[in-house]
Amino acid sequence: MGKKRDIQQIEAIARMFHFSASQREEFGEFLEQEKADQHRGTLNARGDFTWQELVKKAQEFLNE
Amino acid sequence: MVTTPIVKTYPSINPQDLQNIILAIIQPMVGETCHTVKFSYGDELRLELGEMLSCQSAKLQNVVKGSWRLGARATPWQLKQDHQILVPFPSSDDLQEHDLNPMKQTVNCLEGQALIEVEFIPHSLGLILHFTGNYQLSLRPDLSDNYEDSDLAYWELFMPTEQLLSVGPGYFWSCRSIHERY
Repeated sequence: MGKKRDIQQIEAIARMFHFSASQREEFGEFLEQEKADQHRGTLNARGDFTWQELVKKAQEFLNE
Repeated sequence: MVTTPIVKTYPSINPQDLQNIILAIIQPMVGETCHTVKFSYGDELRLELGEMLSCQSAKLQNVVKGSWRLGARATPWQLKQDHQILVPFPSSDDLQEHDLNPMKQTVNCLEGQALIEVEFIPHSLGLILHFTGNYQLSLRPDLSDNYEDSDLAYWELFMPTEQLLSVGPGYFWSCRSIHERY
């Protein structure tokens, strides 16, 4: 039931930033945490992220 | 950190052999308690079992995760208790928020339940998890999906050995270090 397109975008981000599988998993968790903290994306009413927003989130995630 | 080389099987493998291999890998999870049911980005169902550990990312300082973590990826799943279907397999790929919210609340009933049996279906690459409370969670991959256009596994399992078992897409599986980079 997961949304294939959204999950595939995380895979694409993982490839772009050379994440490990562990990082990719935690990045998905980070995105949900960001949405819960009202740092939401603009893709839709659910607060999902556009591709450009995902790239920025990945940079934030790695810049710790 | 030891990196396990990627191991893949091909359609010519005997389904019984494949079943034996996959079950040998995942069988140690039996007996563990499901502590958390959550949905990751993209509404991916994730179950966290076993010892709860801190996340590695500094961005997730207060978040813990199970030593065993099953991700359903985009694969349809069904939840039953006894013979009653609590959450059916979806009739459409395009579930709306008002469809998803009740499903998410219902599947939370797995929290606190222990895994008592696991079945791997070699022909469909599906998985059935049996929990205490007579709960049964089934993952049913869509093998008709053109896997050459997809990079998504049907399901994946992060293990305490710091290895990741990925099954699919297509009739493939791999087991590799969780630290191996894309």
